[in-house]
Amino acid sequence: MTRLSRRAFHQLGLGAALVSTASGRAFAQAPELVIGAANPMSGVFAFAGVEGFEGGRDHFEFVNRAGGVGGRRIRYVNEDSGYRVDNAVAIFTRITSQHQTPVFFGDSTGFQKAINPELNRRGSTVMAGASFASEIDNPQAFPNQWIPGPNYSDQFRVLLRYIASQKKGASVVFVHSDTEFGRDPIAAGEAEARRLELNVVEKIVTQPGSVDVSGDVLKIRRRNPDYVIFHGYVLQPIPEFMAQARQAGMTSRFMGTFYSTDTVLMNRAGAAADGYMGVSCYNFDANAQGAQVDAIRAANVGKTRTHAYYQGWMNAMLAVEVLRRTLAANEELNAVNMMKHARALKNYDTGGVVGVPISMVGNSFPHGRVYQYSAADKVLKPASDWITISAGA
Amino acid sequence: MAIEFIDIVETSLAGLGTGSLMALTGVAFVIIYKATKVINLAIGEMLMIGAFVFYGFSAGLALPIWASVPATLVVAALIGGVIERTMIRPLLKDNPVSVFMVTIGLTSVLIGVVELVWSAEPRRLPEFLPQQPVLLGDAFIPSKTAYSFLIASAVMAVLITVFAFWRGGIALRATATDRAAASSVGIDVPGVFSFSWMLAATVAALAGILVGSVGGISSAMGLFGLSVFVVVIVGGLDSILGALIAGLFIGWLEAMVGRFMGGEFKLLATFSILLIVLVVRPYGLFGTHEIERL
Repeated sequence: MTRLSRRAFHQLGLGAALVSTASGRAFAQAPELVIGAANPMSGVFAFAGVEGFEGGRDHFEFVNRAGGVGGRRIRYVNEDSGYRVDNAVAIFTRITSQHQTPVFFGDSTGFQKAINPELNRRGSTVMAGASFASEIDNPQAFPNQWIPGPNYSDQFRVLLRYIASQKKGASVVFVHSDTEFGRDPIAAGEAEARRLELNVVEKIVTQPGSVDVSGDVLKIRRRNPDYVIFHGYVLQPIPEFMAQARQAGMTSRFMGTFYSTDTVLMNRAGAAADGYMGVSCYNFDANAQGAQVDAIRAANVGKTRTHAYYQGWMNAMLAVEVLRRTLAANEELNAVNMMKHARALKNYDTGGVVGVPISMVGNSFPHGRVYQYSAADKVLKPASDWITISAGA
Repeated sequence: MAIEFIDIVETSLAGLGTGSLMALTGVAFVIIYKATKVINLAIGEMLMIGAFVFYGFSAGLALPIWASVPATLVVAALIGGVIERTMIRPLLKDNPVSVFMVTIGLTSVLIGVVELVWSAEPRRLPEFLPQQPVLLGDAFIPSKTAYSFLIASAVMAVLITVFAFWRGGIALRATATDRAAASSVGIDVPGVFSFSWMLAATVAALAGILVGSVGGISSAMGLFGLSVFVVVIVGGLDSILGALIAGLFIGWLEAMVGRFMGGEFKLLATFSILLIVLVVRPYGLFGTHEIERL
């Protein structure tokens, strides 16, 4: 029997390794495009985080089924941030150190501001996420981020323009939380109200954690403003405010910005939320047409998706478009090249996700529409046409 | 804009309504402190878990309110008893700082339990208080504020009476004053400890139901406890009457400041009062002034 010497054994092993490597190269697929995310799958913002993650996931699956981006599949790597900045920073560091990550989705304004210097220093990753903060809508300070819709100030402008179209010289009350999030659009809202000759009769500031809004309702009861706009809240205390205002005989219409108008939360509030109006940049019209809304419907048979899901889908769609354009131009996937293509998005057809062609202005897409919640049907119904805020606003 | 008298009356009544909830929660804090000298920083979270247990019974299991409230209070008492027996009593012989730290940890544990069972999403309790607003002359009082005030006042009146005249109340005061002496005259000191935590948890749960019915519930509602600490420090850590008066005062003050100066000044006013009391009368307006002899 022929014995295999140790030397021969090693030579055979080396040969086998070389053959396998060579054949591996011959059959290798194009490398995946990794998109990272720190979504708040738990914690106080989970209602939006889970939907946002699923919106992104469904869009990437839709793209992968169609062959990916330039033949490269997308791999979506998500971790739960718990809506904590320190967690999100750790997730960002972990994912970007393990993978080349051209796009990363953040979970909050706090994280997106905290990570911004590092993002700019690296120059390899662009970011979008859950934030609509006006501060981030600044290409000089935040050159590598975009906002998947109008910033909070522009959301206020959409609401105020709707009000102006309904009643000339209407009286308006702003109710906002005493947080950075709550204060964001107030100054811009006042300026816009002045420009539209609307009358801001009161601004009410509520403390985080405050439970009783009865004093705040009493403050505006006799003024009975035409409209009350909420900002900086996740559900509470809006239903209670509305219920007490109705008890007090007020006939005001109540409105809010993006995160105050989530259908999931409105459904929890029930009848108290009936008639509430809110601004969104996404198209919840059941008759909306387009390839992307068709894909959303196909992925969600029997489900009603709202704001955060569409936000996740929109961010994913924009990321794919930016990657596609950068790869098609045969350019390196770095932040400068990707943001150049993001800023070149003008009159971009979102396939029905937004009801009008969108353009990036600053870091955002300033298009929105006012919806009204129907408690009986448990849906948001369009109350206005699409409103675009011009760059000079 | 000129301030109208009716504005002052309505705002005062609304403030007293909120203040009654602070006072009720403050009473829960004082019950524990009186009996065990433990500063329970988790009182806001005990209120929160009571509100969520009520949510579980009334919304989750769809039990009627008349069954959900007593069931909640029983569960809250059990939770209070378990906390005392497993976390507090083993440490009572140690440095008070250890127990203090345990109550800080307890806040995280209770928040974690609520988020595991019910998630962190804000929720609304089923409507169970009358919806019709209350009118006192021309003054409008939102219905929940008015009925919460009545319920909280009734409970506090019962507690003050019971602690003044009932043997259990005297046992509680005796235990607080001198554990060894209380034990030597036959008072079941460990029993008093358990009873105080169970009673405090029950009162906090009731406050949680009322607070939740007014402002909704979430795992962050323990923040309400922050204002309650001001109440008990101003009123005196060991004075139920002090908690009552300070609670009503702080609630009234916050409402008046919010109404006439702006909501951003509420906490400034509250903590200014706290600072003044700590400087002028550090044992609180009605607290026991303990003289330390060196």
